Amino acid sequence: MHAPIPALQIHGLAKAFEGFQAVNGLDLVVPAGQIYALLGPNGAGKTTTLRMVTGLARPDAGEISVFGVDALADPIAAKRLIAWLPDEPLLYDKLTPIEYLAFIAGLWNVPAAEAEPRAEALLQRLTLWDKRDIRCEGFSRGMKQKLALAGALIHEPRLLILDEPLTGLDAAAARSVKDILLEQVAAGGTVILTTHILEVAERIAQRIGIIRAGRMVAEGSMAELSAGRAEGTTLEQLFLELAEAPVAA
Amino acid sequence: MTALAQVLSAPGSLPWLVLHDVRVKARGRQGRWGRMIAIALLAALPVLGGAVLAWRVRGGADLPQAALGLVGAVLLGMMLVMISSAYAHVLRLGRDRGELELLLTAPLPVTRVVAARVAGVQAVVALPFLILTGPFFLFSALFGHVGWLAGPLVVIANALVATALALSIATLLDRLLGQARAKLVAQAMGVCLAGGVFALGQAPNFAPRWFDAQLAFFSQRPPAPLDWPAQAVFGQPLQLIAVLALALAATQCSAWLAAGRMEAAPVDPMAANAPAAPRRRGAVRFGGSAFAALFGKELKLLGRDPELISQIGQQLVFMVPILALIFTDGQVTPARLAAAGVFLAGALSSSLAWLVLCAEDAPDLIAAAPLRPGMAIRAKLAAALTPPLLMVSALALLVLPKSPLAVAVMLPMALVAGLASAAMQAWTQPPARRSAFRKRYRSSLLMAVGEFVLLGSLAGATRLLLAGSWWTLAALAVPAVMLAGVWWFRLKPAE
Repeated sequence: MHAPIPALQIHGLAKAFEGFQAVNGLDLVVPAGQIYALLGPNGAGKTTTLRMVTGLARPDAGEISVFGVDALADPIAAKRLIAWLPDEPLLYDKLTPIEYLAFIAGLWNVPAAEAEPRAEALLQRLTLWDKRDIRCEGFSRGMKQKLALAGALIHEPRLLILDEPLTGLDAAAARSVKDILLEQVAAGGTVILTTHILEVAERIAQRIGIIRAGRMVAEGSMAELSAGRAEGTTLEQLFLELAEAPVAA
Repeated sequence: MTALAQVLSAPGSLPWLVLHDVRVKARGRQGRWGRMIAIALLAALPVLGGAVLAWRVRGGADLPQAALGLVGAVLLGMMLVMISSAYAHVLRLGRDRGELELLLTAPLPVTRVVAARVAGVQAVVALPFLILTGPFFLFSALFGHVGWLAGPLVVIANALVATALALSIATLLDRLLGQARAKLVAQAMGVCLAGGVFALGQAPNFAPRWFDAQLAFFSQRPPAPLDWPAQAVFGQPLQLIAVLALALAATQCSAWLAAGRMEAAPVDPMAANAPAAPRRRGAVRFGGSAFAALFGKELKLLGRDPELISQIGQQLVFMVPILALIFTDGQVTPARLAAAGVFLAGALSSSLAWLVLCAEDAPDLIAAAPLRPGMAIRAKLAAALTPPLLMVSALALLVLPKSPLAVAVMLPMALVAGLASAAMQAWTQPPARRSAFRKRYRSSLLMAVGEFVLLGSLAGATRLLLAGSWWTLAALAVPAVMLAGVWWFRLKPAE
């Protein structure tokens, strides 16, 4: 019996910017069909890691495999499986939501018969259907974030990567996004997210990785991470403890 | 003196607010020193010209009656350009809500904050004209016409009145047409006005008789009180007081109108930019190829930005008289039209290529998409070259009945010019925001000159080729060498 292929497998990943080692020999395995929260203090290397996974930055060293596809050797095949949603929504102010989704569907070569009903369903779900013909230039940050999420989901990615997805969202929209992420996983997808809202990570993520100075300092389920600690230890307490712990050379 | 300095620099005072505004706008710009040197060199020209002119009129009457008509006409032209300039700045009043709200929440009188903003507009409007005319008045005073020191005051008064008029027009258009349409109308008016002023400057070359007739007409002294501003320039006390009183009233009017605009500026950007109600447009097409998606996206973005269209249109309007001078010599022949068409196609391609290649709004989105290498560039290039080639095709239809050969040479040369200027943009210009379109050459005068030489060589090669000259090869060698050099020193892509 073969072991299931992980959604993401990273080995020895490294990246430096002008002398600053942003990611330093990172190893990471994200099992398929789970929500994985990648946590760390500001500047820990979370976004750089995810940018290398999505093909936006080239690592100095290491290996990245997305559902068994070597993302460095065959980036196009890997990109087909991934959707990337950064904290700043990637939108065009002069396009309407429906045009934006048609554009993304075109980039990922989604056939019209699939893309059109999916676009409508996503816009309905994210309460943007009434605004489908209004250009995005006047949208609030929350609306832009929701539209960017719709864009990320239009090609049904197997691996959805989100960098601070709840920034700027109101309570209802945040709830809606969390529900969508859970549905994504229920449907067999995999979600990797970074967030500074630790309660969210604690509540929805099956596995949590905490990185610091470009290295993994703790990894596992919430139960695994809090093993050996006082009962009722929260992720916030764990995070603060681990984020301040010295990094092994 | 120290007390005065303390009052002027006191935190929260009007000068302090104006200085804050200047500091915020001036900081963080690249090539500041280079620009300052360029401005200093440009300012040296009016100093020299002003000194020479003042020397020539040193012995004349303190109030030269014969010049009153002409001075009045110059002031009127200056006023029109000032209104256009003030309008562009007035449209931005109250838009930068974040910073404005910080100032408005501070314990300062609202009128002072508004006055600081308006003072900034007035200063920006007046400054270029003060630099142009100031040296003449100062040197004239040195050479005996002390009363002419009133000239700069009249220029400032002109700017104050122009700002008030711009604010009035903006407020009126906003009420009549709504903010979005008013902006569009203003941009179109700005293009026409700037193009008109520029074309007027070239009129002695194209239509000398017409220009002389207009000069004679405007040299006549207008009836009072229309000649008061001109008299004020020469220091006539009553007229100067009247002009300054008018400027003072205009300043009050500006403060009042600006306060109204700032209060009316919507806090919610949705209300500022979005149409009142959703409009159904043509059905959106799903399911195209990635190339088609990128191509369509670029054309949509280009076509939906009236501000950019007006800026590009303005550039083309400015080029037409120059091209006419260079390539037609007063005679319009198919070969000369073909050369002008190649130049214009290259210039338009350059602007559009910068927009689609360097000013991509979501570069990470394109980079994260599963596209074959080079495909995004090809789709974007196709979008950038489509409008210029359509423009040249329209010109080709005009030329075709007279000279099919000219068309046969013009079309491929226009394509070459488009590709060459797009390559120059792609290889030299760093990524930027679309809003930086107008400023893209400020940091590199060399690039602007280089592009002019490149397109001039290709246009010249077109004309030489149609004349059957071997010099065509020499003209083509210039852009080839230039492109090779630019490629060698091209910007390396950054992550």
